[in-house]
Amino acid sequence: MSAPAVDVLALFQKAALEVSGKQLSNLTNDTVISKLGLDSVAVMELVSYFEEKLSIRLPDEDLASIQTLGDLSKLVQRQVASKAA
Amino acid sequence: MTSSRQEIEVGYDVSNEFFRLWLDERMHYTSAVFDEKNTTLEQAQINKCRILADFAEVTPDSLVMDIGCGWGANLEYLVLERKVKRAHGVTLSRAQHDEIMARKLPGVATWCIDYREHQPVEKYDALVSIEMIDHLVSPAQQQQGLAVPIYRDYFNTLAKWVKPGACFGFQAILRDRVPRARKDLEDLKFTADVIFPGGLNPRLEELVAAAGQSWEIQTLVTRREHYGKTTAEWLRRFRMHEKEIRAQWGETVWSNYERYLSTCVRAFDNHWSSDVQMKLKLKP
Repeated sequence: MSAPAVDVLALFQKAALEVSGKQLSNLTNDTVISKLGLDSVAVMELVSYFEEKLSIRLPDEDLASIQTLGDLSKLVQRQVASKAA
Repeated sequence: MTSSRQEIEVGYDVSNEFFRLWLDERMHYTSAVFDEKNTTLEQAQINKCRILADFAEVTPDSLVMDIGCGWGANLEYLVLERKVKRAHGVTLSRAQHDEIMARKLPGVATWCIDYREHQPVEKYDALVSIEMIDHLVSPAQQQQGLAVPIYRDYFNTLAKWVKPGACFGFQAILRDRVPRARKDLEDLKFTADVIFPGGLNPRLEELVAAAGQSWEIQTLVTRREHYGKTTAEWLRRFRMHEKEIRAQWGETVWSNYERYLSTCVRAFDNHWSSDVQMKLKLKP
């Protein structure tokens, strides 16, 4: 059975508000994370938020290469799917 | 691009006397290798040099190059303990270069330049490079997927400097797990931004992917616990000189380096960072 897809854009928006108090809008898969005004510490806190909410662990070796929300989405979907398998 | 001269000088040029207070007497600023016979920092640093010189198959007649030679500690080991007659080194730091010149090491020639500008007049028999590769790739370049190509360029450039069958004793700091807690992340970011701006430690798999085009990896050993022990000893010695450091270099230098060294100890303890030594042999 495949895992339901996670709405990463919506979850990212929620995470940014809860963790960094930042209201983000108009997010798309092409949105470049470094241009959202979040520093690298805040981004990792958002990663941690995803991991906690979805009970997954994003591989450390893949984290530094995430540039867009689409990159993050693909990584999250892959980890959610492998957890369900 | 590689860390600039200005970025390198932030990390290494506070003052030679400052580093002399808390490093070992020869001023190795890289991981030592401890074992049952080499228990002090001084012994363990020499032990590290011995391992890398053995990896490089250094003999007294070898022409040896140390890429990123720091204050000359490994060059000093090569000419004094291994009786190497000719040893070369490059560093980007003027303060480090001045220190090497002041040591007047017999048979040693050094250049204060980017390694890519070095034009060897003859091919080397052996290479050593100790934690210099950690200055080659910026976080932005890593994000753009440029890390492995830049590391590959480094290994391939060095391959052109050596004679057929030459060996290379290589050591690098590695990044490993990424902490998730804000305080830990802030401490690591502080180290990257304030102490060593412009640099990013490689991941082990990046080095393996990059080295293999020109070099056979014959031995690979990680030294995470050794670097944890090394940095803990640096921190202990640093704290012993608190009064002197505060008085001579000021509160900012004291607090920056205290935070940096404390973070290093935690980084190795928690697997955020590691260290690797490799014996590389030039492929035909």
